[in-house]
Amino acid sequence: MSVSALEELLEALRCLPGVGQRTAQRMCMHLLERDREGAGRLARALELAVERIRRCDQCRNFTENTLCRYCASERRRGDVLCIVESPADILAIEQATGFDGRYFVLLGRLSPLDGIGPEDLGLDLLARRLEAEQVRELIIATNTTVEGEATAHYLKRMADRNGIAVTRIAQGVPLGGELEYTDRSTLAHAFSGRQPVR
Amino acid sequence: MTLRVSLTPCWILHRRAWRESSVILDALTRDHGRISLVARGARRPRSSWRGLTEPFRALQASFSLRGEMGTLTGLEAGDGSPKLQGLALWCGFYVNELLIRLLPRQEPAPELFDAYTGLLPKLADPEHRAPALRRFEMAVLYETGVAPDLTRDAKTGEPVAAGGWYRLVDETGPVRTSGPGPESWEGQVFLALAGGQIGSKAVGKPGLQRDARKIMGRLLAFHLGDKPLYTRKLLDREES
Ligand SMILES: [Zn+2]
Repeated sequence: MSVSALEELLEALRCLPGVGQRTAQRMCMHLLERDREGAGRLARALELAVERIRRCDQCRNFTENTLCRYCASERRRGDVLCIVESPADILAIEQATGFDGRYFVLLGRLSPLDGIGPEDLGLDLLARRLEAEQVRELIIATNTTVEGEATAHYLKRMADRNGIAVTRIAQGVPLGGELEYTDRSTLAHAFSGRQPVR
Repeated sequence: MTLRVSLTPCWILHRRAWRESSVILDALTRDHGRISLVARGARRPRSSWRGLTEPFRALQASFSLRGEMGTLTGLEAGDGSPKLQGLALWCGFYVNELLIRLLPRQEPAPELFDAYTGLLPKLADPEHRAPALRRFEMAVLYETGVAPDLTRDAKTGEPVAAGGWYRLVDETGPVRTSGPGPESWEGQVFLALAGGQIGSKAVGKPGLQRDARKIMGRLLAFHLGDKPLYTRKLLDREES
């Protein structure tokens, strides 16, 4: 017995995060009943994206070429390398800061309890880069979860072996935030990471 | 029947994202043992639980429990969160994986909870880390009712002699062997493990820590079956 096209679509939609049976049904009905043109476009765009988008050879960011735009750009400095967990983090940093160095994307974080170790994050590739390139500073921009912390520690050890300075983005009270409403651990971090007033 | 619990001491062992904005917690509570809790909306940007649902943070949890999966209804920061970094953090992950693999759910284990609470700060202290881990590993075996008697020969029932040589044939305990070998250890290491004296100045034999680690590794392996701990593998690599 073959699976009907409808069942196949419902099942396929459920690969998206947060999409269960009900949501899949709603999406499916919308595409088939109200927006068949959009459905066709979505199908073609997905196919094209999957076919063309790959990981950058140098930093694991998404790209259609061998190198992503940041690695390919000659205007960006190569002596500062910022380590992030996901390509979305690059976009956030690009939009919010004037960072003009290069990136390395882990596509995850060390999570031993989920069986995710150094080899799953391309850290062998990063180790080769640290040896081969003239990196002066490694900026660690991993999340502030315990897994992000474990990842930062591992990266620090890698950098130490190559005599590279390591910095970590500051963690503290959000701009416009009030101390009273800042959670305890954030406040503790902000307090221990205090800086001279300039 | 639904059990409602208000602000009880709790540690989160592991958590995973669930649906759009929720988290499923594997939590160790003092009075209700290891439980699964769903924290609805914990990943929403404005959730008051954000940043709290982290391992190694002393917490007070309120929840309702019915069947296998409970529902988190309140979460507050408790006192005395240890500051784990680097190797200490990795050891913390190891302990959590050990509990997740060996500790059955919903069986109250107040003594083990207290042992865990006492262990975490010691992980941050390089001198006390290894002995504290060995004592905790023994505590897990006692709690799950599978701790062997390390003071007696499992075959003959004779008391273990400090200067004799023993090996582990199975999980039942040390068995006397003719002499030193790659898989045999001196009786005093077993005795120190049984007495919780690993790391005390009285038992200062060189290599004792290493032997104790191997013995506990073997004992735990019998109970972990054919799927070894992933964190243990990483730790072995880190430390070598
Ligand atoms: Zn790139």
